Amino acid sequence: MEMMKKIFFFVGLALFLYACEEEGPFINFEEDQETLVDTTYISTTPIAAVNKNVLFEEFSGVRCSNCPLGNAVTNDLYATLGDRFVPVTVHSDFLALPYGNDQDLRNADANELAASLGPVGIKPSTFINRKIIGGIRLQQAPATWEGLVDDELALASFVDMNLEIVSADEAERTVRYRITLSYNADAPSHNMGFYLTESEIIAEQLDGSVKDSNYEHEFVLRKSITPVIGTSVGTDISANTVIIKEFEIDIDDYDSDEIWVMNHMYIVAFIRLDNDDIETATMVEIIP
Amino acid sequence: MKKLFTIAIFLIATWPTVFAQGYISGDLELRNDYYVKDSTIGASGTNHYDDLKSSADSWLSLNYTNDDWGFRTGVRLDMFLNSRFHNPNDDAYTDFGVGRWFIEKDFQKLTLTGGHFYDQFGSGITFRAFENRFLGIDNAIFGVRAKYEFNDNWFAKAFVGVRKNRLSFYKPIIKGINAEGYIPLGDKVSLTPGAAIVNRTIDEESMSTIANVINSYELADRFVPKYNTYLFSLYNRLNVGNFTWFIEGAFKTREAINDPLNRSVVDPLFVVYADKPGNIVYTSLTYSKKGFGITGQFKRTDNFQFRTSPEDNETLINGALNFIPPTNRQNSLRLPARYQPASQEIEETAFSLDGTFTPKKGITFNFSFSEIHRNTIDLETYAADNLFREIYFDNEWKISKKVKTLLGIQFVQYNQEFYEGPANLPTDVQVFSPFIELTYKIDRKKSIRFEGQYQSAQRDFGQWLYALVEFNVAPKFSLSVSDMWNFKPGPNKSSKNEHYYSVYTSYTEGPHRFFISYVRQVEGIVCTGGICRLEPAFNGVRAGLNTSF
Repeated sequence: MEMMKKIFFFVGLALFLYACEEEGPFINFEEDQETLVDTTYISTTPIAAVNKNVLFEEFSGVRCSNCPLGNAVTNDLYATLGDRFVPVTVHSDFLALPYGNDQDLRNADANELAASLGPVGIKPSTFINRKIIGGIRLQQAPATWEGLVDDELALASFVDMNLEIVSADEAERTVRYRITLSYNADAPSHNMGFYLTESEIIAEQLDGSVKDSNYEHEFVLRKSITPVIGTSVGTDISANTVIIKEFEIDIDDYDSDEIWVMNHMYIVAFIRLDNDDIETATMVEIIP
Repeated sequence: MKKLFTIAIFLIATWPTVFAQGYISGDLELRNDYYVKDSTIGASGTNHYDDLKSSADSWLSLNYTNDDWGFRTGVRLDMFLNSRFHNPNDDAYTDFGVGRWFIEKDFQKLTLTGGHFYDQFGSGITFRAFENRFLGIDNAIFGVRAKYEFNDNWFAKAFVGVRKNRLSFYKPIIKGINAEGYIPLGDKVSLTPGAAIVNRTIDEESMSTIANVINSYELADRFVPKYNTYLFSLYNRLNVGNFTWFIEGAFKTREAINDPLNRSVVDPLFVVYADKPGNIVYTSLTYSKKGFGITGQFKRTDNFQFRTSPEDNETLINGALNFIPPTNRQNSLRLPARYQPASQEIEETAFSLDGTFTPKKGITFNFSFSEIHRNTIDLETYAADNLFREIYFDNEWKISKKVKTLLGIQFVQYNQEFYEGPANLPTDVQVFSPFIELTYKIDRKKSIRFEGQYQSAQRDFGQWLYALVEFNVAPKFSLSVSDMWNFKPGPNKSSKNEHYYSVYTSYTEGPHRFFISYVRQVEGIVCTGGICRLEPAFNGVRAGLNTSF
């Protein structure tokens, strides 16, 4: 009898452990964007050192009463810092259910980002180059954001990113863009990711205790063209390497209802390290 | 501060009492290598030969045991100075610090251990934490372990921790539970059953790297890797009179494994992680009586890779969490030990038969036959598909009180490409090695020993002769001179007919043993218990000290 108890205990434990299903890391089962140009060469002249830019992924929601305060800080930082500051407003599910017939600013990529590096249970909040600063990745106090961004901007980056629009066809809603990566130092393993964002979206927003039906939402994440962690660029890239890649996307592939306004859209590019930190980022308007 | 003062007073007051009841033991192992560049045998091209010229490795252990209290503790200082021990082909490695510390206390039937510990479940298939300094292995687990003895025949133990990585740790977490018992079923029949469950959880950083790699694959090759892997095993030893039958079967849940033979379904030239479960069966049957013993072993391994992570830096002996026992004979003589197969974790079907027969006192015959195949065995191409085959026979004959001989022969068929890679190595090295050993006792203390060996390995190094003469004055002094002569190199070897000689002497005084040797050593696979690594050529002086107290 004692023996039987022991056997049942182990079999039960084994079944219990086996039944523990897990979600696992993010694996992209969609086709990657097609690379039209892929060139790598070693620069004959040393590539100059550069500092990091900041990818500023602010979590917001139309039903978040304090989020306009966060949006205001973000807009001020963009106005002050210009190209060094790459804002992305992320409407993950929390407090982001649209009012009435407004368009839904939420999307699967926003939720993926929040779930994979969150949880995001407080808004407004932000990732600053997705770094863990002071033991936390999600920075929650807008008053501290400027100082943290300044600290990040003072750090060196091993790569400079130059993102250009090669061509944009408004009728066909296609965009061809080129990214140039110039490495000034040996680089650890890293990924490159691309977002589509849109500004000047009018949708009702709770602001304090008031609903503002004409609220203008800026830099809203519409689609992550790559997985939110990007796709691998390489593992052994040495100093003075230059990589040039060109891609083309059809916006209708992501927005079949043609709601997104191409004139208000940006492409964001970023370099992500294996520890989830963003090395640097850049952004370009699709139609300047 | 007040607390610290109280503790200090307590320690001072109890110190003599503590040490009066217990005892201290320890040991020191010190090894120095001095490198002399010799590009003709490949002993060159690393910073040891080019610049550093020497290295030192040492392990100093100090243990305290108090049997009255059921208390044990210990600490070991590890020192690696310009070491090439862990990875001989790599640049020098320097680090030193506490390589092991532990505290252990018995509470009646419960024993608790904290710190670094070594342990294994069953035959080690699901979990084994062990040290083999000769191979640069120290797989200690750092964590806590509890063992409970239900009665004299049954116990259970469980642990949680992380695996040691030199003087730091791998990040994945290992947990395990094991129960084992003894069931007597009469005078000559008994069972020793056991069961084990082991879980490994990959850390976020490692998983992020794995996910990145998988996201870089073609769509058809992508899969969602698991953070958690579970291993289950059941084993039993049955003793019936002169027979002993051991069997262990284990299953491992699906996870990303690093199989160098697993190719992309889109591009067969591209190696990708495989997402597979694994299983293994290992069994041995022994019959033994006075003057005669025979053992048969069988093992089938299918994707039973169990490491801290499937990442590339955790292959070979790095990051291993289990031990798959070898079935082939473990040879110790110089030339017969040159071609040894490492236990395979991805795919292996192996069996062996070993016997010993002593028809009269002083005369013993040993024989061994073993084969290793892939898991898919085609009877039509059975012989050609062999990964490894060994036929071994020897005779030990104690001719008189003064003269003892060992005479034997070994035949090996070895798939060098499979075991050593890369792809341009021969797949069927045929090795033939006769050998002789003579020991002559001059008097009660002095003896002289001679080894003579020949080896033909035409598709590898060609033909060898090896001779050793060793003079011993027991128990203090030993001096040996040997030469391994590649007198007719194989066509694939660019080396000339090189001599690999060595001179070795040691002096033992009580528990202290000093040794110094000059060694010119050919590159080769060094294996112990089925675990192997490639040892590059060496030329230089080795000196060391082993002592215990």
